[in-house]
Amino acid sequence: MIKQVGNKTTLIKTTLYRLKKPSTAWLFCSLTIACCLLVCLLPIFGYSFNADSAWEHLKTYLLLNYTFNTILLVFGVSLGSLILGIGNAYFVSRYEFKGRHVLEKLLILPLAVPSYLLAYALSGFFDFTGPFKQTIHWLFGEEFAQHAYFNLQHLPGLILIISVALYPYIYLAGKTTFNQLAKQYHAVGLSLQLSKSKVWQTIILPMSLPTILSSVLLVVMECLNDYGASKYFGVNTLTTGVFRAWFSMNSLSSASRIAAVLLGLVTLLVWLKNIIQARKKYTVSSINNTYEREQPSTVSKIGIYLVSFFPLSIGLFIPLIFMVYAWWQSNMNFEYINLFQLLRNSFGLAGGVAFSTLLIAVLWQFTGHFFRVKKLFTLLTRLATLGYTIPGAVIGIGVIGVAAFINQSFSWFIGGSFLLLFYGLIFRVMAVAYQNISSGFLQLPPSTVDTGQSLGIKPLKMLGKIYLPLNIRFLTIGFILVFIDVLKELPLTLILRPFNFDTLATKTYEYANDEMLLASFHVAPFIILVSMIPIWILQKINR
Amino acid sequence: MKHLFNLFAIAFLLGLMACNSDKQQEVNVYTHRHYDVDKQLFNQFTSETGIQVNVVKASADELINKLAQEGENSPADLLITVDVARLEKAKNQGLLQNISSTTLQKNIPQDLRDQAGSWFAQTIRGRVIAYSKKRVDSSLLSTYEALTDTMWRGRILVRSSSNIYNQSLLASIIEANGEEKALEWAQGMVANFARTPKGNDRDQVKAIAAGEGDLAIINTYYLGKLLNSDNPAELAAGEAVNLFFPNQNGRGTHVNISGAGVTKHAPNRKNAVRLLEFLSEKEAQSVFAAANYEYPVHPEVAPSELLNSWGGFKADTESLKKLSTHSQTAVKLFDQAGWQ
Repeated sequence: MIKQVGNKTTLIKTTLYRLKKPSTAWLFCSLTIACCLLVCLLPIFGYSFNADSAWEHLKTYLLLNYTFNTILLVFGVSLGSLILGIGNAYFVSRYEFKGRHVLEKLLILPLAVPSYLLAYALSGFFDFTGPFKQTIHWLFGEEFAQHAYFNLQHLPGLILIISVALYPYIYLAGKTTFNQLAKQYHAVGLSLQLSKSKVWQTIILPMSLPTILSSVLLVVMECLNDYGASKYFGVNTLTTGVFRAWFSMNSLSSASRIAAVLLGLVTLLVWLKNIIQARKKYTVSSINNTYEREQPSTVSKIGIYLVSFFPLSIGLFIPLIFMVYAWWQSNMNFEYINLFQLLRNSFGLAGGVAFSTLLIAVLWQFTGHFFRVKKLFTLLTRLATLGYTIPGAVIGIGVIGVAAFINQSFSWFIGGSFLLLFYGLIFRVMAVAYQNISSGFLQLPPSTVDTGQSLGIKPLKMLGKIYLPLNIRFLTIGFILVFIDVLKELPLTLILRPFNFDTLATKTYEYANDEMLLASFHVAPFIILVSMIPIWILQKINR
Repeated sequence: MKHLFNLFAIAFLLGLMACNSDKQQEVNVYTHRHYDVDKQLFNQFTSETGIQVNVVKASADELINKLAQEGENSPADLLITVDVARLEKAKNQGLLQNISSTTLQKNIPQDLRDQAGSWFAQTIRGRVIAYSKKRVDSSLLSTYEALTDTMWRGRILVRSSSNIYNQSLLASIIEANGEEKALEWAQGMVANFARTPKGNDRDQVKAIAAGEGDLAIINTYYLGKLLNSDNPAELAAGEAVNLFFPNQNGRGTHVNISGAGVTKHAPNRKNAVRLLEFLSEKEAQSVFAAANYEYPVHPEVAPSELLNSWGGFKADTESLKKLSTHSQTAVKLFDQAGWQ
């Protein structure tokens, strides 16, 4: 906080002086990047102005149904992943029980399974020809097995699958803050004669709300972007509507309009989240008390095992078992020589994009936080994180549009290059890095900044010596989430990739889309394996 | 800051390098087909001609959009799709050029290629009726139109209307019977659905095996894949159904093609034509037929053994070139009829 200096004018002068000098280069850099990213929205808005007959048709027959389904889906997934994410984070943070260490790590892993893959795998596992029915048949005979299959292809099934695929976002954020807060406030609470439950209910849970809200928002955005699983399950949402308008009805303008509606929806949610967050401002000091986890009662123990086993079995064990089963059963001649190439491509792409995205996010957040630039800056950078809400393929239209413009204006052809792929992906996943860094910076005590500034420490040094080291945890989580996101990303990579460039995700999808599920299971496990490496690093750092 | 700039500079250079690295003979393909058999054929082409085949795979609509945006500078030489309406769409947007090649004319029958030479079929796939061997008497089956009969109430399975194969099927019905009748047909089908449309073509066959419905509309090659599955349960599901080729006494069974066209600004036009010709030759055609259970277009190449076992059939190839004019109407009719 700026020190009160007698009269108001001096205060303003000091503030202005402080803002003016050091921030110009930083601000310029930040804003330029933000604008560059935002540019790819222009073609989308451009297209949405040309009205055509398809829009009338969409309004009459489809839009209401699509919106209704989308709202139900978002609501269901938020609730589902909140219960799974917070429930598990709470249990592993508060209690000590047998297998906690393993569970704590395992619970993150469903993050490595893309929702479209989960949809294919689960639906295939439980369907009429799936291994579930076959096992029942083998165990109990044909009569018993006759009805031993479930059809998951409906809205509740979709909610289940997306919740299981996305809850780790909330779990991760919850676990990190719970641990941090418990270390600081558990002893304090107890010394105030509060019961252990009261400490959690009145201090730790409410205080972790901002971080949890950010992660719920990520889940909602990710859910709004789902196309593969919804399409396969025949659930029409606004996102599948974008594709119906664009592809089936050949109306780019209607597609852009639906995309704009989606954008509006998310902007509204972001705004709501900020209002709630603004009211709950708090900071975290770097005091690290140790705190001892409680022993749960037997009833709680059963609850804990149930709540953790459910998402683990659906989100990880069943898909893995199914994949092993497919390997064992399939005689397909899979070219494992290509696997190295797929791994290299996926790893390089995900790593490169994660690194660049994090750099930009840190630049923005630091510029905003350190120099206390508000309003316009926050607005611009926040806008530039909207890519997460726009279906990947729509960003694809935008990016190709920008490339076409550059091509026409400067006769400089950049189509089909890694540059475009990087550009699109960075815009797409910016929000993940941004939200994470924001959570970290939000908790930095303003006094740290004040001290640094009054000592005249240069911004770069401040960043390197204070901001980054204090936020290493959030930086790592940010990097890992972006890495995994890019690893799983499909539509953008499909449309923007250069010639002969396959990743694990595109290859898995190609097989699955051609109804060769078993073949796709030759590649899919590697998405999970590769994702496990950064998750493992995360565990190391968190310890 | 410096690092940031350096990083972008590097990314940028990498991007540029990716653009123009190869000076070798090459042909650039934008394709909607993801089958491994295609890759196998491309490799064979490379080893025979020394021409490198570069591939970008995505959905046809995305690729058409990409082509249009890239304009004159597009690196693409060949566009391959799995739906004739998409080829016509590309042609109507001026994205394809006309090719006259005696080889192509000789190998591909006239109704399976564009008159002016802007696209050529590579394979044919039929959209047919799969019926339960146990519960359906095949003598009751006749045409697509007859599926709206009340005797099939609650017994028909089919995938979503966002699927291009369904859209082209309805387009062919619009072409044959007019818009009004086509809407009635779609409504009649919806009334007979066993469940809301979902899943893919294989899922419909499995649903017949599971007893959820008795009839399904599927593409021929999916049954081929089921019958050759490594999974015994899938094999059993495939064996639970038979195929019926409808409208044999009329216009013929609805078929669609997988085909290709040379792009307007193809930088490697000659190589693209060479690849097209290669894919139309007997050898490649038999590979298509054997590996992917598709019908070959080359008149002298016999379909695979499995396809032969289903018998020959009369195909509605006449409407093929008109499908694209009805495809958007078809989507709208689906929505009006409530076919999800």
